[in-house]
Amino acid sequence: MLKYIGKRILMMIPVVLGISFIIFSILALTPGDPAQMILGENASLEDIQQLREEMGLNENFLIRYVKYMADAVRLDFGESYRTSLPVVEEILTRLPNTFSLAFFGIGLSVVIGVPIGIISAVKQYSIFDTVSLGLALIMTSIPAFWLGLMLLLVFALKLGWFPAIGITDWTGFVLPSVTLAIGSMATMIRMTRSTMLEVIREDYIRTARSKGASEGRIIRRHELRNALLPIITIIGINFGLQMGGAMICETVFSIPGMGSLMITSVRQKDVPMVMAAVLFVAIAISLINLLIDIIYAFVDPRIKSQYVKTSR
Amino acid sequence: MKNPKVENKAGAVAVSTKKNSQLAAIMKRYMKNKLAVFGLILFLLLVVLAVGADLFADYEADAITQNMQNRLQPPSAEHLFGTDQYGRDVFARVLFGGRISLWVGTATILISLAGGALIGATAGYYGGKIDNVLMRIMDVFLAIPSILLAISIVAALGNGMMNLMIALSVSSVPRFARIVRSSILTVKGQEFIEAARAYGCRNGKIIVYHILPNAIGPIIVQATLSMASTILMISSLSFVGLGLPSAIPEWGSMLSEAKEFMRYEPYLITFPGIAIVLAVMAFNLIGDGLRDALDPKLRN
Amino acid sequence: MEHLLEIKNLHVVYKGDGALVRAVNGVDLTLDRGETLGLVGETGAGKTTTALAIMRLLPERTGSIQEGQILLDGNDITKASDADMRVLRGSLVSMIFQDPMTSLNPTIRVGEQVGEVLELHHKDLGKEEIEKRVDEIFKLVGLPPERKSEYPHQFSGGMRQRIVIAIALACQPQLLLADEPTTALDVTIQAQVLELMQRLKEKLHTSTILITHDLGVVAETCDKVAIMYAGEIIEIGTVEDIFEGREHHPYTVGLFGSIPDLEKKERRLHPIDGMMPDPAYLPEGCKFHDRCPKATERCSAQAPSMHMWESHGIRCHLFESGREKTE
Repeated sequence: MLKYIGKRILMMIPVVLGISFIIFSILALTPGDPAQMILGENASLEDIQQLREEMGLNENFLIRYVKYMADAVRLDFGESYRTSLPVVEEILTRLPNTFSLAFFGIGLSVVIGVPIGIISAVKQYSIFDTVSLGLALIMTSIPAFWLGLMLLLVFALKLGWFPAIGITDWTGFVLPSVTLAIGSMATMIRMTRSTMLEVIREDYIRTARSKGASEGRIIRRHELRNALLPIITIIGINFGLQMGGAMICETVFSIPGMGSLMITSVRQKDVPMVMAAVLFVAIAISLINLLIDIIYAFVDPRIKSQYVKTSR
Repeated sequence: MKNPKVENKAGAVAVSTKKNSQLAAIMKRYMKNKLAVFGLILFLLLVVLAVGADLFADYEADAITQNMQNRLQPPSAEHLFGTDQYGRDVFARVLFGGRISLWVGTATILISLAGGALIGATAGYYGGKIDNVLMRIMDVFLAIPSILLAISIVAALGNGMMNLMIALSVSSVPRFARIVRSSILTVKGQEFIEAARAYGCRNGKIIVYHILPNAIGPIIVQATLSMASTILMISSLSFVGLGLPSAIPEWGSMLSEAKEFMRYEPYLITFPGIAIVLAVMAFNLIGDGLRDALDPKLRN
Repeated sequence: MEHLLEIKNLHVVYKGDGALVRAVNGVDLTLDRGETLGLVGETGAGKTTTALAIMRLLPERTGSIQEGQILLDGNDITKASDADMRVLRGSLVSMIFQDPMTSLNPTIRVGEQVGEVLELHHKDLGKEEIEKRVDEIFKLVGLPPERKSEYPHQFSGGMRQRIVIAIALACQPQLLLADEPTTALDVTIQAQVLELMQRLKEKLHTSTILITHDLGVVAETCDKVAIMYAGEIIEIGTVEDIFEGREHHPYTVGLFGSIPDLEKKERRLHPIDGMMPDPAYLPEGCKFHDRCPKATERCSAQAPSMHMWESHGIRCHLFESGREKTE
């Protein structure tokens, strides 16, 4: 098993390098002189030249990238052009907020969406099935930020059940999590339903029936496990989308997370901050996917046995 | 010298009649699917309203010019959806917003389709090292969530319609590249390609005339579904101020501006939001319907 | 003594895409304790459907028993409740399915899959006793009990079929339905599995319906043979009647090519010109008439009935007035 995990971690390195190179190249296109930006409008040409030299801005693009990555390995992602503080500090205070939001969102969507998908498949063509598919269709088409606004309007501004701004305690997480959950719940319902329908038609379900197992037992013991395996992968894929959704939602609920950080940094042309923020989120998503792959390998005996020798 | 051409024409005729009957069968299957038909109706409605927006409202007078005496009027016969904080007619802005979304969305899809087809066709047709390198690059792009990619590009290039299109296209190029590549790989080995090569067709010509038409089904499905997600992205980015400049009537930026008034003027956030939902739903329904119609085996 | 299984005038239909598919059309069949019946016919003749009807495992939404009775131990199971059926399935009657590669649950250890049947039908057994019984069954079908904690993908096809057989025989059922248990296996493994089934049958005194294409297998293992065509049994009899008798249904004649005897061991079915009729659009009269070399006008108008001659029955107008004694 360790071999498998090691292999997967090694496979991540070129992906992270690729992502960082692409983002670095894109952001290198940013017009304007960072040195001028830091020193202000009235700085003298010599001062600007000197700062450019210090920041290494006069060097070749590739050398700058290599230097950036060399520093990044030591967790030095540079200083913000605006505050001159290390960007890592700012990011580390905000990343947990976005992460928890995405996590709660996806957790909620799994807890509600998967059972709905299962019932839909078991009762295919029933009214329940039709209604939940219809709901899923509407849910995929609703933009998260608009749903957030509507929930905010009804449950925070009109009814006053939840705070409209910030996350001082758990109540602050409710509306944003629900907002995020709705979007991925649609995927959960659809995917659970379709994998479940596939499993229901498998020969081994007929075998289970021929043993005299009851429908409830067949669903619990034989269908669920096989249907839920692919769902684990889907959770991983969805996590990336959820992080994106969480970043947009933060603006609606005024939550200090990666999204609002990126948006203000983009407006202020604070390139090191944008670079590091994008990189952190992208790596966080890759790590989650890695974790999901490992979990999958643990629960699926077919993959597990390739790496674990059973003692005979 | 003349013979190959004649044969070529005859072949083309045979192929096109076969295509027509196939097309009819696909259409028939599509029209049987009620949800897909509903999506098509929504789409046609959207196109009519967006293209004919000028018949219902005047762009300059209703959607752009500020009219402070009329600000924040609730919905009425004169202003169906009410007016915003600058006294502009929300109905007119929603209509023209549809035009913007469709236009930016279509342009984005066309750009990314062109880019994706070029990369995918090159990779699939030449194979080997070229294929490997190109597809690995595409994989890396796919590993970056599209919103992050779009934010980075907007950060580098700044706001504006053209930059938004570039930002959104870059993130959907890899998907098209993959589809085009795999379609090419499936038709590549087939006999009619060998035949085309035998009578001396050039590579580029083979790709454009023989391979791409066979890949068209999955491409259209992907384009439709991408259109839905692109419209969502346009409004999301505009909502957080990284999309279109706020003067342009766009659904996302309308919602962003309306945010501070929503407590007492809830209609301001209601109508643009519903517009987004309907537009996105139309494309989702059409995409799903087309996919089922093209490959009936996939249906549950 | 009453028969273990008696099927009377069984009709099974499938509904789907607007068409009504008549898969089984009036099958009559009896099976006594300890007997083995070979059910032979082309694909789509209704053999598997008959077996699934006995298990009451026809596809829920589409398949249904339209008419007829299935008496198992004297009780009509077409009228049994789902709960009663669950008690019967796996204990009184069980089934071995065609493809061992897909018949086992990929995520459950094979020992548990075998133990599940015992758990379902012997509620009084404790965990350890079940484990002990599973070990015994594993040995019985020739599997090392140590491997019971492995997963299906770790076994070969022949091994998996042994597991499937273990599941079917765990509760020592009185009736075993074996649906082409060896077609998916290599020829060498086929022989092993058949031998195993034969041995177990003798040991446990189980009655078996063996569905197969392979006439050689039938000659070796069966007491009785029923030949199905388009949802009907067109010829039925003892193994001697079918393999050594002189009179046969024209379809059976075609099936054997030339009538083989037990010594010759004709193994392969000979192709017959034409196709079996689409069960959604069955012809009038005898269902075989358009392929039959001896068909007359009457055959296309009137459906023949079964003409019995002691243990031997043939559904054909040719045998209406008894048989010619040719000895």
